[in-house]
Amino acid sequence: MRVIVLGAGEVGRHVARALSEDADIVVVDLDASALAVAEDELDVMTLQGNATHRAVLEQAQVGRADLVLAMIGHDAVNVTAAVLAKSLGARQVVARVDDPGFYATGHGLERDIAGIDASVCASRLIGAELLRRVTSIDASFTESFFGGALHAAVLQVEEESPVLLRPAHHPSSTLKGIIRGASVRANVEVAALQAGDRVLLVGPPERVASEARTISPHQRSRVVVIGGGDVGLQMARSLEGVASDLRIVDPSRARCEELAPKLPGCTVLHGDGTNLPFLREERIGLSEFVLSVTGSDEVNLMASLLSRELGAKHTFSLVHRPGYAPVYRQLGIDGTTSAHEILATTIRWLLPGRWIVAHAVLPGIDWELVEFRVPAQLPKPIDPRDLPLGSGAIVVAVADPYSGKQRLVSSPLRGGEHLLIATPCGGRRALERGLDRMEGAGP
Amino acid sequence: MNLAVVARFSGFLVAIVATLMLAPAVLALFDRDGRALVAYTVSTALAFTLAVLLRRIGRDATEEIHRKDAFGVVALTWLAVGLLGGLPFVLEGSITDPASAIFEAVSGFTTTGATVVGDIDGLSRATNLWRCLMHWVGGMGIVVLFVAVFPQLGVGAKHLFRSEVAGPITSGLRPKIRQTATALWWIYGGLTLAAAVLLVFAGMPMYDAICHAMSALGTGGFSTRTASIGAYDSMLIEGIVIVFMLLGGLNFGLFYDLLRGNGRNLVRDYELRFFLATNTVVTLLVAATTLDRHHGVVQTLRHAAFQTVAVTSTTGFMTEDYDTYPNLAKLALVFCMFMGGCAGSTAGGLKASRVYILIKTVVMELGALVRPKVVSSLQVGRGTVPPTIIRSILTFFAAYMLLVAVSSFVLVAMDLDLTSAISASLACLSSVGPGLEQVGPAKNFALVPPAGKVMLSLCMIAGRLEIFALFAVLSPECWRR
Repeated sequence: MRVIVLGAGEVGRHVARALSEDADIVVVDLDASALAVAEDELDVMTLQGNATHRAVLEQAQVGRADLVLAMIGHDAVNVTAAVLAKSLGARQVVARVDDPGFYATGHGLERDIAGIDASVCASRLIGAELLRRVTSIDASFTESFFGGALHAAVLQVEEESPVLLRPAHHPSSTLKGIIRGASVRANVEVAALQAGDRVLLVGPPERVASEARTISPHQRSRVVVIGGGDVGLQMARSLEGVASDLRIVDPSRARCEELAPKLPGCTVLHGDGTNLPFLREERIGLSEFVLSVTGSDEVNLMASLLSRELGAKHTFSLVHRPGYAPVYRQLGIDGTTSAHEILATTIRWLLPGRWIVAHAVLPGIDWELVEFRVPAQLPKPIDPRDLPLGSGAIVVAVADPYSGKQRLVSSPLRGGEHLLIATPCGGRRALERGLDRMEGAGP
Repeated sequence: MNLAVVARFSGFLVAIVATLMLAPAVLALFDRDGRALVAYTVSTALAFTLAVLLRRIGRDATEEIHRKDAFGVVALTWLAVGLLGGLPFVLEGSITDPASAIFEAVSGFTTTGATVVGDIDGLSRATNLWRCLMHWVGGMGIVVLFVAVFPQLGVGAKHLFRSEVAGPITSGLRPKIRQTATALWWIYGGLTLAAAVLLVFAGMPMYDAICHAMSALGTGGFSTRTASIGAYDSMLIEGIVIVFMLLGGLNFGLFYDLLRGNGRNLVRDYELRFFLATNTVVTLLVAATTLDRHHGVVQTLRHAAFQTVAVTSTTGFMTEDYDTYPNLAKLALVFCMFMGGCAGSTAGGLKASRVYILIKTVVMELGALVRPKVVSSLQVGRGTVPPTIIRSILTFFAAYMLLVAVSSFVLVAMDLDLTSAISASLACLSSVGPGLEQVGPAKNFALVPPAGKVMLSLCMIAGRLEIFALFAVLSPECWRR
């Protein structure tokens, strides 16, 4: 596979590294010193030039490329380069566009805008990923599927849980399965939840996070977001339904005034997240979560360490430089996420490949969650039960792969849709063979 | 430098050389040549033992190769193969003195083609095959072969590749360095096969054709005959050899472009133009000064062209003793020894592009002296040369001249005459082979004392690795943990 990565910055290099084993990669950048770093670190070819110039793209042979990734630090440049690459014959183009205003939906990945096959929004994807980390504090398992549009989480039902003895099935609930004993049961099969059951939640990140809170409630639920940039705003928006006391901190008064009307359910604080008296005054130490998401690694690290010192229960931080994450964890920060990691994961998910696009083993049980796509050419919509799922498997989600829009699992499937199933481990090969046969049969 | 890593990868490279040594052993078996068979079998066994030993030393090493390690691997391998390659000569008895055997082997692998053997016709067929095989493998590079055949080494392969294939141009032909190495070997193998087939058609015996094809494409210069290509006295054979020596002296990236249908790059390439123009001018100059020695213009041009291309491509074949030429022609050829072939070729020397940029730099600097306010950039072909590249070329040139000077001093101190000492140093550093006077094309390096041979062997390796890879290993910085 031939891949052209436009931009040799942290993100471009990280994405190139993530793909370099399976793909032949050409990295294009205007900056010779950034390219020199890429040359030194990666087994790729480099080309110096402006990615929005046709001559440069032609020299990089975009016409023969299977995938062009525009990963430069400017939205407009990425869009221009991606549109140009597509018009020059690239098979698939992906552009990083960080301005949330560019998108119609809220989940950070959209298809076919201005001829660009996929546009990815780092701040939205980071927001979703941090939310997953927050959920993972209560859960024994969390994983993202459908390119980050849906999250899955497994939680224990405790003695004092408010959902105890309630029926598992509810149309608007994200509760899709119950792990009882050595198997996973569909929600409709369980009449009442018992203590010791583990529940499998699958749904949009915010819904899963808020439902996780109701299943295992906590005494205090103060959440503080430090940094009111794009990521901070996304985080605060998605946490509004999750936290009972949500605060956002930004050092710029003007930015705070912009944020206040956008976040009615949130306390907007004008202050410096690394200023100890300020943090003390606002009793940051009583928070359950502190999320440091400013644009500076130093500020994020300091804010996390100080909040932890003051008594905050869990701290999460956004990391900009690849390689810093292990150091953060060593210093006692609960979790990190970064634009380069999240974009690399999303792009891997976008790659045309075999049927199965993602899978994860469930904890403490010999079952796994498998996301796969349905053959694109179906003669007519089919019932999920007609798929070669293997015995015992249950369908937990059906969604359009790019909008992330979920549909009822019992409704007929259309070609190209993605399915998430829970199945006993070891059935993946059989599933792939079955799907191969289905495609072989043709429309 | 991590010695375990260096040992581990050198072990692989020594194993490649050991495998190649099986070819002369098989030929000796076929020829029922007992002495040669024993010599090559024992050498192969010893080489494999060394490879296994090195692998044992490096058994705990990581798969990751850093730049320092890459320098170490390349330098150690080139030193090791020099010793191993000379072993069968001693065991067979064709060369008795160990220093001479090392010189011959290093001369082989570095594609220098300087020999210590007076009576080449008297060598066994196995030994002559081995001499030419060393040229062929050394020409494209042992490490390049390793990178081509060894699965995923990632970015470490790139460090290895660049330590062996240094040079002003370092961009790959393909996105992955392994693909680049493979493409280069396919082109190289294809050209060698074509040369061998054409030589057979031109009337050369099959065995001679294979040996000379390998020697010509590697731009080495070892021949199976004492009188080199002159022994065949055939204009057709000389023509074919001239073409393939020239091809060996060109940038292999251009052949790749040509195969991909980018013939325009070939025409536009400033280095190619400069190299061909230099060849033409020197050929005409040599022809003009030697017109009275031959019958007619055609014969004069035939010999002038052969000697010129043999020197510019740093092959060192011959059809005539150019040491007997008039001084003007000799001097022109000595300057060609300095220059050598194109970057990215199997030839040695300073490389045509470096010489071209050096000349342009001098012109530009002179202009700047007169009009210091003019801001200019150095244009070559369709691009500009950034100051960092100019600086590295100047450094390379200075290091090169320094090595010629030091080596000449040592040889003169060993009682060689001035012309022989300077030309021998130059011929070894540029991997041409024959020099002038006592080490001229009709003579050989046997009279150089053993210490001088060892020093010249180091010069040859330094020239082949473009100086810095070898000397990087000698710097304490490389050994610091």
